[in-house]
Amino acid sequence: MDRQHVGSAQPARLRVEATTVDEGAELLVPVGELDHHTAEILREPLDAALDAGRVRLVVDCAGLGFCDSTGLNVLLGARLRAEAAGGAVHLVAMRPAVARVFRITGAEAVFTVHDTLATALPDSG
Amino acid sequence: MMDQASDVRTLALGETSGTVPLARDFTRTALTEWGWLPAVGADRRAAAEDVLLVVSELVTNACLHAEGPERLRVVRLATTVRLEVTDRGAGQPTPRTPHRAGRPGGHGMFIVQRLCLDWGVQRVPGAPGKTVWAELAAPA
Repeated sequence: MDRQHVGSAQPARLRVEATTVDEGAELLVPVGELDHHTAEILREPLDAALDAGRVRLVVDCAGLGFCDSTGLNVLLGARLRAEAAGGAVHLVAMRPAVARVFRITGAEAVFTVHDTLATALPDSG
Repeated sequence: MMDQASDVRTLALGETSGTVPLARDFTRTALTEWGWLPAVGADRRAAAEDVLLVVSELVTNACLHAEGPERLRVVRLATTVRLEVTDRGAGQPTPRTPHRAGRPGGHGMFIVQRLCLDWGVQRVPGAPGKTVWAELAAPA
């Protein structure tokens, strides 16, 4: 099942494809730039998955070209909710500019970071 | 300080929507015309990307806490790049302490503090608003 979340007011700088993996896991693929103007485009599908009890959130960041503290806050907020429900946020294939934000702030320590999707999806163990 | 400036670029922000990506685009254009982008090598690329990240944080702060940004200036100096974001707000940007890595909030000015050689706030006595400035090392 695929759902598209596209911003309306501006030409979308971010597109997020959300796919339900199984009853407990959601794969989110944000493509573009994550900031003050696009944060809600990622927050909504993260919250929808958490509301539905899917608390293993796998975010494939390979197509994410930019992320600042506003984007970081969205992922940290999802991480708090996921962990409270026994889950976690998994970040996959971050580009150097995006990984740097997580490194500078120390936030990389509270996420599970993967180089590839293979280790992040639940059926791979 | 301004007498060292070899290039000053000014972007009026005002009521425009989408100011944060607009400010990044404007800065990216300046860095491209100065030959800093596209960058050769990981260190230079990181230095240029840091400038874009700091622009994003300063303009976002003006949107969230200071009634909106009015103007961005990107100034090329001898060995640094200086960013100035002028807003209408009376408040004072302050890095939140303690910084908590795992919690939402408080990361924007922490990033500015970590990436910049120096930053500060300028006010004109009697005039509303302020200018938040930050200086980063130019890509070597």
